[in-house]
Amino acid sequence: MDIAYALSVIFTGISIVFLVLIALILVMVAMGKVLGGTGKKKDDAPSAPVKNAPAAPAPKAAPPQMAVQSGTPEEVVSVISAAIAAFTGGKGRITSIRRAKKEAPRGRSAWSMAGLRENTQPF
Amino acid sequence: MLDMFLGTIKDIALNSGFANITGGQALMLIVACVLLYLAIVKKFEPLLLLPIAFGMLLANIPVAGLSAHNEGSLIYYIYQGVKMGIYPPLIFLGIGTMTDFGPLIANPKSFILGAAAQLGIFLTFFMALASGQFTPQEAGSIGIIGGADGPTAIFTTSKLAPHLLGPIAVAAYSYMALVPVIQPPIMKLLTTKKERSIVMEQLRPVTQREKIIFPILVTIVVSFIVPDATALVGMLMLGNLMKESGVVDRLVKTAGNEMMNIITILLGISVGATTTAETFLTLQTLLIVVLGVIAFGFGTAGGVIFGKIMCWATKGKLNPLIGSAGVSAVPMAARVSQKVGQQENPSNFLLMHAMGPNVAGVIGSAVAAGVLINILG
Repeated sequence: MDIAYALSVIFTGISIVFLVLIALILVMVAMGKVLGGTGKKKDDAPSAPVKNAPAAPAPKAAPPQMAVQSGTPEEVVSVISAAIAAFTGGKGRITSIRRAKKEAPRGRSAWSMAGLRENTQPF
Repeated sequence: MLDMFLGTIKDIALNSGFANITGGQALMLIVACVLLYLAIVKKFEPLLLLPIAFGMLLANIPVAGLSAHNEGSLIYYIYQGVKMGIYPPLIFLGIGTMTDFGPLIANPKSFILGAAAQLGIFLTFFMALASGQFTPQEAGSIGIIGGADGPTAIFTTSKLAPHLLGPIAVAAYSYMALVPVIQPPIMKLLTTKKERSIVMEQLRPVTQREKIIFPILVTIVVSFIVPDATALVGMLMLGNLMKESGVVDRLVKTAGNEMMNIITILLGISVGATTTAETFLTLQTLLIVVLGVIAFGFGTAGGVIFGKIMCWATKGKLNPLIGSAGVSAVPMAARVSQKVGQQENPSNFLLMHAMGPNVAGVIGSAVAAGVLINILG
């Protein structure tokens, strides 16, 4: 076995593998900087303390009671309220909760629609 | 009429497998059945080990002439896809559609760990050459087992030492299945309890634009430096680009499912059918099996040692265990990092961090294969 040859193959091989992957690191870091992926977001910067902050506003009057259709369980009202609060960030206000009218039956059944979709989707 | 009947029976008997079987073929049939057992019962990489084992079975049935070397046989023509280097890149195309490079883009330093784990390839190359039993081309093919990447091992071997395709493929896929057994002792040996307990901070979110640009840039950079790796890396990145672009869902589904499954069957059968008694039952095969374990061990050790170096460089922010995921057995090696990390610290979740070096290892092993093909081919 020619040790010099073997070592040259090993050294060349390892060097090139590292060279390629280090080149990729540099490319990825550059890409991150260009696309703003690695930079800190502006929101992350600590906000400077505000001098002479205005006094806290007086508490608002309690919102009027929402109108809930009779026969709607309390749990359902709670879940709907929580979902809307989460969606609007607590800014929305529910004025009433009532049951939606049932949709009139369509011309095609669910199975018929599924078959139609299956055959027309590729086009 | 009776004479004719008896004569026919005699001819059939003389032409049957029972009359023509050799000791080597009988032994190979036993080996094939053992591999089938490992694939079906022990679930050792069954998707490839099962067709490989069955290909081995077919190739060693006497008189049938179904070996990949037997010109004119069915498997001979299927084998041309391996010989011409068609199947492995197509498998890489499928792998690309299933790979998320997000963790690697979020932490590009993972590339270093992916490179470090390729040390196993080159150290095993040296050992194979030092044994005096192998030519440099054969040693290169054996070394690539350390990349823990089946298609890459098959691709490299088909270019450098096609006669060793069977033993190398069997060794590569068997040891890939044994990653959860081979890696943990090495990982624990090379790290301290404190290092294994390091909790890494969460990766930054990666934008869709970055994920789309990544495969294009990688293809350009790798192909310009190592053109011999383009077939593998290019197809891997094409698959990934198809997935991330989101505009060719039908192609993504086909490449990742139907096409990949078809190629896996063809690749497995044809590779298995190269393992005839004359080519498989040799001292070389035994050495390949031994060197394969060493290759995996060195690869794991290389990744962990570089992980320790990076842990020191980052002042303890990087858990060295993720270095072992640099061997590109996706996602098994990453799962092993996660498992070993959680044994020390149950609240530690290393999986996403380990996926970075893991997919970097896929690119790294393809680059290493390109380098070996260039130097030794």
